[in-house]
Amino acid sequence: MHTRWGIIASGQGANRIAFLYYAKYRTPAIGDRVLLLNTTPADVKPEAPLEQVFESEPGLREVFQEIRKRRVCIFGRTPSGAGNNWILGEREAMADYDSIRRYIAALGLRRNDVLLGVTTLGGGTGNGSLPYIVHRVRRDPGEGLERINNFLAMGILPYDFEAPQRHFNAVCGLARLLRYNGEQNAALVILVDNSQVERVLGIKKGQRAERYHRINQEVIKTIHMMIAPSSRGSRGTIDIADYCQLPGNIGTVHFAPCLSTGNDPEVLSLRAMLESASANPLVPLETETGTMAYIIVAAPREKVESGEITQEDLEEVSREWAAHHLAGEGLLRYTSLIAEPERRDVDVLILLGGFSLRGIMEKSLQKYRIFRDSLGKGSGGSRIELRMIQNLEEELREYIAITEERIARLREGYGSGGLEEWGFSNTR
Amino acid sequence: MNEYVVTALVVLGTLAAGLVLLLSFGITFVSYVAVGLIVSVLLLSLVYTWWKSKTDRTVTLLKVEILNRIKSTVESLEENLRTASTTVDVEPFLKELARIKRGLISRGLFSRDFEINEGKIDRMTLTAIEVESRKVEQQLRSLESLVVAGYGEAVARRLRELVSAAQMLAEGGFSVMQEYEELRRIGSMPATSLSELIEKHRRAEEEFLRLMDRCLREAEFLISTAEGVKEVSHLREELERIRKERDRVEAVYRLLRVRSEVSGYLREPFLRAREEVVDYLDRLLGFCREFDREQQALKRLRQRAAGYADPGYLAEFSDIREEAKRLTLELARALVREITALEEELRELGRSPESTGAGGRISELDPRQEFREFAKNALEVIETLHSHFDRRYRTVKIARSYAAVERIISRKLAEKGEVSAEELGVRYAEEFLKQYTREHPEAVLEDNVLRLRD
Repeated sequence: MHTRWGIIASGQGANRIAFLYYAKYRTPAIGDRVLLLNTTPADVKPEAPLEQVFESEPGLREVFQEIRKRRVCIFGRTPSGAGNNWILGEREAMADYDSIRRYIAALGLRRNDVLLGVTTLGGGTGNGSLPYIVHRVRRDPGEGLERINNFLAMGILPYDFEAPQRHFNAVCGLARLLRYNGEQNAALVILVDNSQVERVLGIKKGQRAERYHRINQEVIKTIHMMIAPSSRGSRGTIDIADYCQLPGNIGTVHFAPCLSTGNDPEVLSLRAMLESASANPLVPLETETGTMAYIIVAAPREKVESGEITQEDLEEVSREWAAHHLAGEGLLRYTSLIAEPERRDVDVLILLGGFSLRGIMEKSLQKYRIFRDSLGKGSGGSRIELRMIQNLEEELREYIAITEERIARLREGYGSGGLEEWGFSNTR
Repeated sequence: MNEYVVTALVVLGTLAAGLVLLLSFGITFVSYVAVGLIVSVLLLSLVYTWWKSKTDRTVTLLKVEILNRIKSTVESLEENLRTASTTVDVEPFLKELARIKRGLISRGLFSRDFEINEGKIDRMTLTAIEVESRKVEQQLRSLESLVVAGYGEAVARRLRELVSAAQMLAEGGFSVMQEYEELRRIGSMPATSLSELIEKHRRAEEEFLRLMDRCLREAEFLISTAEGVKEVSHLREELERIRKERDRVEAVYRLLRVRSEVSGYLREPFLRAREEVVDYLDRLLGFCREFDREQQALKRLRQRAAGYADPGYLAEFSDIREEAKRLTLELARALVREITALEEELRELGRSPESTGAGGRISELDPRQEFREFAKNALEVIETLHSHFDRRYRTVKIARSYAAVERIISRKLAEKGEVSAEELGVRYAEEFLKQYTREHPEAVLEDNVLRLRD
């Protein structure tokens, strides 16, 4: 039996992404298990945040009406919503967790199924609530809801040009998705950076009006490719246990999608497609610092059945690619080939994990500090307390240190593999 | 209920009258009266029965019906025997049948011309006629059994001959497999009575004649086809002779000889025609890898042409050549359609392809031309169109994939300052590198290796 997935999208930006994903891909793996969470004043009219989406394609409003009653949860008690204050988003989720829990339980997922939480990290509602919801569902889900350990999170990082407060939110949100109350939080944290996606898509100044739509499309493609190994056409070896357990054991759970879609299999070899994907990371990163890679390839079924593209070829090409691109050939590498009947081109997703977070922190840290230093020393209510921030910083620093240490160790190499320590002589 | 009352009253009345007579006249008188009454009733019953049988026609009709049945059976058997006489000697059986008929006539049941003798049968009882009927039916059944034994064997032998002859004709190249199968089916039909055997035999002979007629038509067609190649009037005469004896198995051998001779005359032109068409279709197939529908149609036609092994099918090549012309035009149109679509796509991708004038090339293909001339011209046109298509196809492929390959090139240049065509791992690598230099003036291509300018 294939793994069943559910998506929980918290906040307006994430709502748009998850709804578009549901409208575009109704795969058996996901069914209608998409839950939209929000707190904004527009929640009185839940479709308000999606108006922009409805205008992009005809028929989407009708699709929304299908799920409106069962799959849209408005939580919180503050009439003004969470705004850009993540503390408020978290408090609202804490206060109204029972409502959220009931909606999650209605998705009908069981212990070994998978939940993917989506949020934009610059905002307040999703950024504040999702880390808390992940923590509760994985540790203490409450009555009527099974513990779902396989809870992945996808965080969308703000644009480079956004205000310091948004970058402050992003760093705090990232820290809380990685660790919560001193424990690992999400089983896997997948990061996507708006500005980086814009760069790889080559969106120019004149095209800014459609930027959100195109960026969302890339995120949707990423989600679809992540879920694809749970589909019927999968020939590969990636199981959800690989997604969720192994990175946690290693202590490094952040990943970034590297995407190359619409490849012509008559022009590009598998090797070239992987090269193209790795040159296309959706967050600013150095591929060579990556320590883990899940490589997912969706190919036309006739090419797979005729043996033109095989799982074995993919394994071999992935091995070569990892030897060339990952730190010390990497710690983990899994591949999955999916044969899809209606497809003519090839999509490649490399979920690159354990890479140096320098690229992400470089763009946000300065703005983060500007905002943090401007915080008052007050406490209580929905105010952000410095003590709380210091804890988050400490956790993030520790996480970054582990990551960097592992990269450095892998790059140094392991020489003979320590044969001498096991009593083997140094000469043959 | 009333009947019981009346009966009871009559019984009581009779007993009362008997009692009165007994009491009035004594036992002797009553005994005489009773005996007298019983005797009178018996006599009256006999008289009534005789009178009734004399006046009732039902018995006569029954007698006539029985005799009609005898007559019909005898005549039917006689007719079947005469039909069977063409296959086996039935003279002894006819004599036996004549003897049975004579017996019936001598007993007065039938007249000399075997009509029912109604004048005499009135004097015979129904029972006597029924007994006679059963005896005659038994005799006729025995006689038919004897006939079936001999005739059945003869029919089976004839059917074996016919099936074997049909098989020879089918294997000899005539298109009579269907008729041959029908003959085999008739041969396996069960037949136990004489009439069934006669029917089976009749159907087999009819089917064989149908088969022979078809073979004769085929042979006639072959002779007509060969007329332009060789003098074949002697074969036409022989065919007429065969036609007159077409019910005889011997005619089959002569028919096969005619076919063999005429096929010999047709072999060379047949092989030439087949080679010409197959060779043309093979070359055409080289230009339609990307056109599945047209490719399948051409493959089917090639298979049909190459599948003819007997020169007798020479005439089929006239149709095949016309079909080949039609499919050539379809392929040319498909190529033009695709070239136009690819040019449109290139425009959408921001390229402006120069016009090929592909559409005009179709008018150069004239299906009224003789096949050889048409084929020569068509191959030239199709080759040109395909070359245009191939170039456009490649350009579109490169344009569609350029963004992905550009990323790879940029990355490799950033990593080590150069990238070769081989290490790109893409088709049309050189074209991609050339395009890269056009769009990135900082890169220079030398000996298929792209480098950053110093």
